[in-house]
Amino acid sequence: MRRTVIRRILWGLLTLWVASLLVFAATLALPGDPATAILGREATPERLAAVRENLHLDQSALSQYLHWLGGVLTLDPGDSIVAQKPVTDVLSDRLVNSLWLTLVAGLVSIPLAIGLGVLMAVRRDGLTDHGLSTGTLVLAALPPFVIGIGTVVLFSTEVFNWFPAVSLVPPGTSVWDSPDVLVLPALTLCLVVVPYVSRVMRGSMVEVLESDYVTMARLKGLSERRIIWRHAVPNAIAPAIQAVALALAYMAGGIVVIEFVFSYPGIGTALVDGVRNRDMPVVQFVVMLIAALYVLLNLAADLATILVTPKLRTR
Amino acid sequence: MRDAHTRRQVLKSAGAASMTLSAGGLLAACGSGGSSASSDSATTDGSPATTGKPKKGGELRVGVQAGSNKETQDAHTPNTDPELAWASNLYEPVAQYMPDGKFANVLAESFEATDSSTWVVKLKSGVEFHNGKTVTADDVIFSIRRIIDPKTASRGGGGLAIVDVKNLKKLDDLTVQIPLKEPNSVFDTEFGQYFNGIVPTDYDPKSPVGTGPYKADTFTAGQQATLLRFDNYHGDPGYADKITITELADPGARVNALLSGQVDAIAALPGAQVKTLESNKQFAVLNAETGTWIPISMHVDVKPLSDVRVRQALRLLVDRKQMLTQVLNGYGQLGNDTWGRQDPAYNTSLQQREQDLEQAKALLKQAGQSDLRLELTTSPFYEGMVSSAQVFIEQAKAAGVTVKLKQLDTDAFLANYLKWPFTQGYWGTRDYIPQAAQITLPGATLNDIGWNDDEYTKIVGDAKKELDPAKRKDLIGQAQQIDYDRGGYIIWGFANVIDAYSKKLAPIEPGHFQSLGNYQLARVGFAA
Repeated sequence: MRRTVIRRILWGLLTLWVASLLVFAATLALPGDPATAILGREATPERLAAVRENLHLDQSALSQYLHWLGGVLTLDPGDSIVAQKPVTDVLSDRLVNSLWLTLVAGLVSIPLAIGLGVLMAVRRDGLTDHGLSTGTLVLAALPPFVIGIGTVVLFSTEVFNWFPAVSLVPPGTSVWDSPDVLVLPALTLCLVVVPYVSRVMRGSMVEVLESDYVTMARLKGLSERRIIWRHAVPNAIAPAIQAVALALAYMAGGIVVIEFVFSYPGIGTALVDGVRNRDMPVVQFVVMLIAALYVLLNLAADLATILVTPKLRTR
Repeated sequence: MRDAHTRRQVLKSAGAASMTLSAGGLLAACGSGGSSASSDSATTDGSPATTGKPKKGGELRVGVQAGSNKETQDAHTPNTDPELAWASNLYEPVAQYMPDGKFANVLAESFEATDSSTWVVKLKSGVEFHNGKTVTADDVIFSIRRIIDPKTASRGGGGLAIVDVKNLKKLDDLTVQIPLKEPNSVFDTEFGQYFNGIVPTDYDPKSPVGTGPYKADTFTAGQQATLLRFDNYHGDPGYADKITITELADPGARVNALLSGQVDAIAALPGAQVKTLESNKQFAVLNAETGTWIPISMHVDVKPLSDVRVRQALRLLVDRKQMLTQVLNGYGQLGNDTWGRQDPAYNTSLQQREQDLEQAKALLKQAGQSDLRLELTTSPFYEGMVSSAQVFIEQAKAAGVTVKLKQLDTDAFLANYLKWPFTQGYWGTRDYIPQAAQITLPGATLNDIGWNDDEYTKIVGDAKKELDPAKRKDLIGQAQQIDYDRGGYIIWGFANVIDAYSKKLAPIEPGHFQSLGNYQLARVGFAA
């Protein structure tokens, strides 16, 4: 098992390295460069040259890459071109905001999705199952920003006026000073994630409920509740763990769109602003962060799957 | 650089504009396809439908377009939308155009030319800065020097470059004589700009002190600023106790923030949303006519555009009314191939140019260009640029002219700006002469049509020397006649600025170039 884990970690690191190449290549491929973005139409050749030199843009792509990679490895991603401050300073508050949003959405959506999955499997082909299945499939088919706008129309502007449509967090305050700004973005994230995880949980649970040992348990006269929660769910959870990890990883990426819809001051809006202003250090840092999170969550899911699957655990 | 704010703002945060504005433009273009929005409905309902007079008190929350986190509260470098919003309330110039379109003294008691190369500012006495210091001639001299200093990278530096700085003279404690290196009969409107605010001699932009009706409270670049009413203000005090200016990049988010009551007013309402908000009784739409134009620019020194017949033909094939409807959702005014619509000297005697395909074809035939093919280079760097290019291309087809669209990313577009032979631009300067100084006079730094016309240069030069407004109007009219007859711009219209606000506020008077009554927020208050 230890070898499996080590191999996974090495693969993860390799994936991250490839991601770093892609991120760097993508930022190089963006039309225009930060110097023209900073100086605009009134850029003179001399001023452009000066700015390019400051930003190391006059060096070769390889040396720029190594310079940047060195910074990433030493946890010093450099200064934001726009704010003229370390990227970590610019992003620290936003990172915390995004973490709270993901955490709240995760804590609500994952138990809910698993519960719903179990419910649908237990009531298979009943009215509850059909109703929930239709609902989750419809939600799963909608792009996240449509769901986001839908929640705004429903709960904020047109129908009810319950929650803020835009997540205004005054600078220097925490999202918990006005927690209502979390409601709609978190709800949207939940609506995006729940269908997927609950579908996976339902499928896995249906399979388990049809298995011989569940029939055996039923024949032995165990209560249905005991069968479901003690015998079926623990065996059905493994595929769901993968789904949860993917869902969480998706949240980390999907948060970009959802934060933009709600103008939520997190890393997602920071990424959008960064691209807009050609603020490469910010873009690179945020994308690497999201990539790292993806790799980490997948790794965690693999480990968790190993832990809940005796066959893998003992190998 | 009068009123060029929006252009500069777009330049500085070009990407931002291309993102948010192009979305708006796209929506606008889609929303109006085949709709019957007419230009007259847009022009007449400029006055909002709310009732009641403003009362004192309350916190006024305003949602504006996003700037960036490199923005400042410096008096002399407002470029982004939020920077305009606070600079217009923290600082004041000696004189400026008011929302009603009249040029009026603000800090000046009088501001007059003794001859076309010498101007004298006399300040009102007893005007206080936010820090309690009294405004004197020294502050005016300091401010002019600071604006001209290249290190400031100011908005007004270009316009004030003609000031003979060494010979600035303090006549007494309240009076400054400003000598110019060359005649300029409209120097008052050049210096009298909101971005040429008077600041104290010990000015530090980090603790922004001005004379405006509001003083700085909190400020986080790229997010939010709060302002508090200045109680020792020399003019009519502001209504709201506090103003919160919040930056909202996404136009949809701005509208949602307004609809859900998180802000009381928003700048730059997307065209596609205008009808929806107009039909909502809780909100009012503020529709302000401006002098902003989005031309199709033709290099007069590059074949085949160097042939005036070709240029006139291209102008004649444009259906200007359709342009207004399709590109601006009907929220704009017709253009006549010259600029300065709000200048008192605007030449209204020129016959409105209309689509005339027969004449266009005839002119092309004469020029031997019956099978004219052109490439139009554009970018989404200002709302309406790409959509107007697309409409133009369709209209050109009707006259047998094939135009290929070359749409570039804003950065790539700007990288070779001034070099594209057939392209687009965007200008917001209010009056004729200051705009000409940027684009069509010798030494203009942003001449994007390769213009160099001796007769024109002489006429505008004479106008710059002419202190008699009537005679000056005559000269500017002649220059505009030249634009109309052989200029390099197709100016099909002028775009309105459209904002929206809650009817909890008393009616807001429309401005003439900037959002929310030129951002003079002291005039905005909650309805009594």
